[in-house]
Amino acid sequence: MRRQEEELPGLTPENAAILKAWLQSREALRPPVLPAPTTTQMVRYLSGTLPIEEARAIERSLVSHPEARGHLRQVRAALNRLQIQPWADVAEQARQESADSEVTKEWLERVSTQAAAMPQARAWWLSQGWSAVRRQAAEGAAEAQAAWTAFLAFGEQLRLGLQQPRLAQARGGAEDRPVVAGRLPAGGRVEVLHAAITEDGALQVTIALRDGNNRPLSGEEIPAHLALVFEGRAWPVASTVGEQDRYEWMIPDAGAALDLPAGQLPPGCLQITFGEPAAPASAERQILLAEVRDAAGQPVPAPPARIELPEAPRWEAGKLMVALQLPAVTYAAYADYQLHLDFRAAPLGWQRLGTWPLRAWGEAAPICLIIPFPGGPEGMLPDASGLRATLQAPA
Amino acid sequence: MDEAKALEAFPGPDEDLARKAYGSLCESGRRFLRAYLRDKLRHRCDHDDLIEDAVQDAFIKIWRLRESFTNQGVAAWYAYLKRVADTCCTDILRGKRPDIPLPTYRDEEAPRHELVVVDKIMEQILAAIQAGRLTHLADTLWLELDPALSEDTHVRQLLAAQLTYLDGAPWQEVLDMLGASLPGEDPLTRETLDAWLAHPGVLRYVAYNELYYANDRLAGALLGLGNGVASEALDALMRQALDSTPADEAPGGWNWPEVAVILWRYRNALLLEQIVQRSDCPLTRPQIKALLVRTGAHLPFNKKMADLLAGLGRAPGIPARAVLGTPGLWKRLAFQYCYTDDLPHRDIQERTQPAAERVGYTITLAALNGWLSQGRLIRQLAHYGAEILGGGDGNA
Repeated sequence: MRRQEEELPGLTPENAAILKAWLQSREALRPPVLPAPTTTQMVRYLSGTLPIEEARAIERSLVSHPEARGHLRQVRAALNRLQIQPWADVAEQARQESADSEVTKEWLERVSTQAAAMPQARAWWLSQGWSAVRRQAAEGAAEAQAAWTAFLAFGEQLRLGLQQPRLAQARGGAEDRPVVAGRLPAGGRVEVLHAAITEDGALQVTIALRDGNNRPLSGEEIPAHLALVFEGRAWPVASTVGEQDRYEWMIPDAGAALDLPAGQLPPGCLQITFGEPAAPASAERQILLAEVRDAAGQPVPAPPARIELPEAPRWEAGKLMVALQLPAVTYAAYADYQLHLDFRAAPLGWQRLGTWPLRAWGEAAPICLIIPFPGGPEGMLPDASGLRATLQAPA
Repeated sequence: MDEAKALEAFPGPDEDLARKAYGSLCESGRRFLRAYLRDKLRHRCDHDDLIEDAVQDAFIKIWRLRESFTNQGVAAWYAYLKRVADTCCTDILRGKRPDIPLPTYRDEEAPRHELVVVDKIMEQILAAIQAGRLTHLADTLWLELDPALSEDTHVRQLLAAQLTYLDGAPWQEVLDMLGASLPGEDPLTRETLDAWLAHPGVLRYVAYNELYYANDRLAGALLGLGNGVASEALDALMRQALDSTPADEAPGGWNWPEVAVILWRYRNALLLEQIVQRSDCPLTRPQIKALLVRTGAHLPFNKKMADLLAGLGRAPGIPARAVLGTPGLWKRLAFQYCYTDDLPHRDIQERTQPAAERVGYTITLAALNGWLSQGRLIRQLAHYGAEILGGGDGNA
């Protein structure tokens, strides 16, 4: 649209003067004077924990404060340095005065707040649901942000899972079934007609109910609840009521939020619960997929490595206990690598918990990592996907 | 009470309601008259007192003329206000300074049919103001931003382009800073960022933000006080400058009398004649003229455009001169300087031409006259606003 090239007739100077004085008197065009954002606000902005309105206000302020933009870049660099140091070291630094101490203290506060809300994150998600959690997180509610952060972390595991040969093969059309639970009409079974992330980032799923003779079976208005599932861990995303034999879900930006690539989704990633929404059980023994990186820290085109967590990680007396076991195949392939373990500390930020050489562990018994976590809560990390594992090649 | 209702009630038989209407009309009318008279009396040094006296007299007259008043719409009301204020000004000036004639070029009667057009423009502009969209519409119209995107997204585009072209941040850093996958929005991808950074509207948006110097900002820049100088700080400086024995050293390498003149000229947009006529002006006319030649050399516009072109030049394939040499950017700046900073055309030219020249564009007084004195830009904005907001048929 090139409206400005349209030539409209001029007004008399008399009327143009009236309009000018009238518009000037409204003061409608004067740019608002916005204060430059503080360091605290910048840390929260960069970690994605500001309410969405405040984040937009920070951006409106930054465009008129070049010095603040420079400061934002410094804060980002300081955060990047902090996030690859062990958490105990960051906590120690926060007690000392330094050029970065304001950033360090605020980041410490962010991580502690996230950790404190983490044990209830899954329960919050289950009680509130996708839409409410998104809205509350955008408004800055700590519980919702923890739930949202945990869900994003789960999404990252799911995305890595799709790179595994088994799931990737399913994308090519191999046999794969959704997890079905709840009160399914007698003799019925579920057929997934369509499950995909669309080009514009929506999650779209359509299923049909079939009887034993493969004929359409009415759902009798039984509600059905869709969850994304990975290695036994399920996160509900939407509910619907069927029409005759069909159930459809469309979640506009689920794929975009989880950074899932457009394309078919294996039915094995889906859990469908009919009737009352039961709290999806979390697997006792969890899998944590580790991205593999080269010595420079760049991802390599290899499937992610599997690490088993025999029990849920838990915080206790200022420490985070993480029991893990390396499957033989993982150990064999990556014995010389180092394991970085990070905690999803904010929607946009990870915090390094520590780094361990695999060679020191071997493949046999589970290892229990006791990681200093000053200021940590008491309780379980409800989903192992709150952690991120990376295997980095030796230099 | 909104203006349309107040204008209905003002000449009505219910005197209580008429007084309420009068109070409401006075409130908006005073602001209007101050803006109008400030422009009309720009050549006088004593215009502040004169404006207040004229506004006061005008509203006394309007109340007295209430019974003969006929409501003919909002534009007619403002035309009436203006005529009454013109008369009051003339009366005051004849009583005080009969030797100074009033400018007469705006004293002709407006054609009645055109007031209908003015009414429509006011209605459309008011709708944009009430929607909180006027500035964004002006940016979208003249800078040619993507009209399908929200104001928030345009601000994010601007920030991304500033970080890239002005601050030299690499794309990965920009993505990290702006790629917030906050609930409710999609993450920013490299492809999207590249499209933003190449969009001509976004480049003009960056240029507009670099080149627009509101009066306080310009005065602050000339005094070496940085980009975001507070209005209160400039007030304090003026007090110091007019103090006979200022305690501190004057800022920016100027002396205190020069600081006072710089603030009058660039912050208050006073003309040379107005400054010379001030009783508290510490410099003579030749001294002021010499000072303004020196300040002219310190105006930031040329350097700002040179820096911007250098920043854009580091990105391959950006036709910076072609993008910035189109009229839209300069219309947007002229509109802002006229309707917000109340600058006369020569001052608008002074703040735009040095930068425009660098991209091969020429801003003439004739062009500014067409855009501003004949109301073409405000009419165009009203027309565009009506189309976008759907609040009118766009026939302003």
